[in-house]
Amino acid sequence: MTERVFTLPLCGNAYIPFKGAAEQLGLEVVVPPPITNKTIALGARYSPEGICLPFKVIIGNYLQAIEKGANSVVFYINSQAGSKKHGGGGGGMCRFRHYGHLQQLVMSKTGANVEFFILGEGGGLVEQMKKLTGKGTWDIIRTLRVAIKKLRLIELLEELSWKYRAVERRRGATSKALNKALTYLDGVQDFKTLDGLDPESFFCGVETLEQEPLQIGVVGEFYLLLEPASNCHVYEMLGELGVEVHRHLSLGEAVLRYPPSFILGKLMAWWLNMSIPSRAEIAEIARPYLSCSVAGHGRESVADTIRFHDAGCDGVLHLLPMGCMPEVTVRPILRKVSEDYNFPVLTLSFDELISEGAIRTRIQTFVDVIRMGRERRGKDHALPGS
Amino acid sequence: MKIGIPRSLFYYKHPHLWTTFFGELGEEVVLSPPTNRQILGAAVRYGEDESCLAVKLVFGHIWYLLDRCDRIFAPAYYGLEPGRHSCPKFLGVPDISKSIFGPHVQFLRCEVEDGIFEPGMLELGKTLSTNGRTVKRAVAEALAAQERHKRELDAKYQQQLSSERPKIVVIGHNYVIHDSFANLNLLAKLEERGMEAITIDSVPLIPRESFLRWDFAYEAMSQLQEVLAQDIAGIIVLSNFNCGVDAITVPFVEDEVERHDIPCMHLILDEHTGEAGIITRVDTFVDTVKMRVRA
Repeated sequence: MTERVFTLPLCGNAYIPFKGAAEQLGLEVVVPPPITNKTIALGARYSPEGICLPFKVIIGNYLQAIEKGANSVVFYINSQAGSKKHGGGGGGMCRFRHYGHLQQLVMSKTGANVEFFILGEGGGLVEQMKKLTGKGTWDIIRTLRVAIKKLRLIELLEELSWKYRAVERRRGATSKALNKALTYLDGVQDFKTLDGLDPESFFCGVETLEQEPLQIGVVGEFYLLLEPASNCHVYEMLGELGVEVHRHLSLGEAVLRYPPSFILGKLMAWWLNMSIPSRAEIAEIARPYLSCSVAGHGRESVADTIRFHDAGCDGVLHLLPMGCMPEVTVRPILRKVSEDYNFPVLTLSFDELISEGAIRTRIQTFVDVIRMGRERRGKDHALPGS
Repeated sequence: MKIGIPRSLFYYKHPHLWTTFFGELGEEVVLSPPTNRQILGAAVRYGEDESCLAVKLVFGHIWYLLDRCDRIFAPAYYGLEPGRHSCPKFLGVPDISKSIFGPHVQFLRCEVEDGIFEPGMLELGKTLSTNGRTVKRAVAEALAAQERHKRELDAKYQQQLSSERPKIVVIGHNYVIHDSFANLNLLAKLEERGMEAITIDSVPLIPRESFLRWDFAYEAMSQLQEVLAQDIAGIIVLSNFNCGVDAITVPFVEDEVERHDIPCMHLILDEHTGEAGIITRVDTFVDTVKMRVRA
């Protein structure tokens, strides 16, 4: 039997902790090359026409990783999501739940000889990982702890980069600092070092301007929020226009809200050390507009748009892959929220044919409109007092 | 009270269940007419542009009912079997209608989980009638009507199987294959050309192990395996553009059919589908089937 060489789909920078974990557990891993138009075109060629963009990108990832020598795929599906216990949310009722099986069918049609390991389906996550790696429970838990900690640090770094990019004096300084930090994190495999890191310290070299950046919240479909190459790098685009971005959902939050199992959920909450609104709170905020879950993170999109408004953001950007079942369902509701709160919401839907130029034009216009709104509001506020 | 039932989505799955239920409770049922040009126009105007045609059409039918009834009925089908789900787009229909048409639209809701109808129906019935016995009888009558419908379908299927004509199985959501305006009369077109059109919903459902989570996907795959054991001349898969469920299901259907060496055609419909295009494709498909039958 030949040696197994694993690959995993790209999803923002999340490959760093997971690759690290797999290597710690003694698996050989090939990370797919960064996503380009070629990746997306390759994935779209073999995928069913009507499937959503994340699926097509992931197939592209696999095909390119196979070229680099991978022969096995690890994928994770939260089989608990969508259950009544989880209030119908998470990827359980939407197409994501079927990704594993469809990926296998599509890959078999391409003629590629790959073995699939779908974690989370038909068995506990830890049990499956034990079987895959031949390691003990303790090793797995310890490796997971490092991975989750690293994931959280990466998310904090990303959030800080959005803050700094909006006010950086020299274009590109933030991205440079971020890349340096990520490269450093890639090499660290010990919990103590990670625990002692201050993410802010990586950005101390970035010179900043004295100005109040616009604040824009980003809501929408999970994969598009996480993978910059699938959303035409809108976070960077916004940052360069002097906008501070806030993402409504990160991988850590999604895992916390829809944990793979009760015990792992508790452990991860402890490792991640972050507080997020619970499912019940989200449901309560969204209730005036949406009384039940519509799968995926549709209800979160509605609730978080309202939360971004209450937190004083200047606008919300709603990202979705074309035809996304939950997000298309909530789109008319977001329009209504926008109307009721007099709050700008721009919806952008992405497919494999989208061009960065088209997105850039719309983002620029959106930012201009928001900026004008803020200036006008500023004047109105100034009038009574002066 | 006048209760409006949109003739779309769930209506095609359980056509007699809800009309019987409300009728037995002594309410007046206003059923929207089969989809027509006017309703399609409203559907395109009010529906979300990235939804599938069927979800757009439900808003067209609700628009038709707005001034013609006091309450509109929109059940929440969470799943028709334990561990399975319905399409999540349906669940949002009442809330989205309120966003589109304003808060004055009143809905009646009935939750169906794991395919168990009684508790939700009893609860809904109690809000409409104070007499517990009437409600219980209405539930029993409604479920009996649904059973009768199932038996009718079964009888029709058996009769179609014994037909001499080449048999073509039409696979698709109930609300796609039975909305003859939206699918441009596909079933009649097949009949006109001397084919026996068997709709997938009339095939008996034998429970099978399946990874598919959606009711429709699971049922269709199971029924497909059942019907493939019969003497079938061709298969037409009918789906709406941007149907999320079909994006997953159709590749598996095609994979299954491929192994049986039966001609298979996938037709994708939306509100722009022209009749001429459909006729050409149906003609070609029927010719293919006839040639193979003769050979």
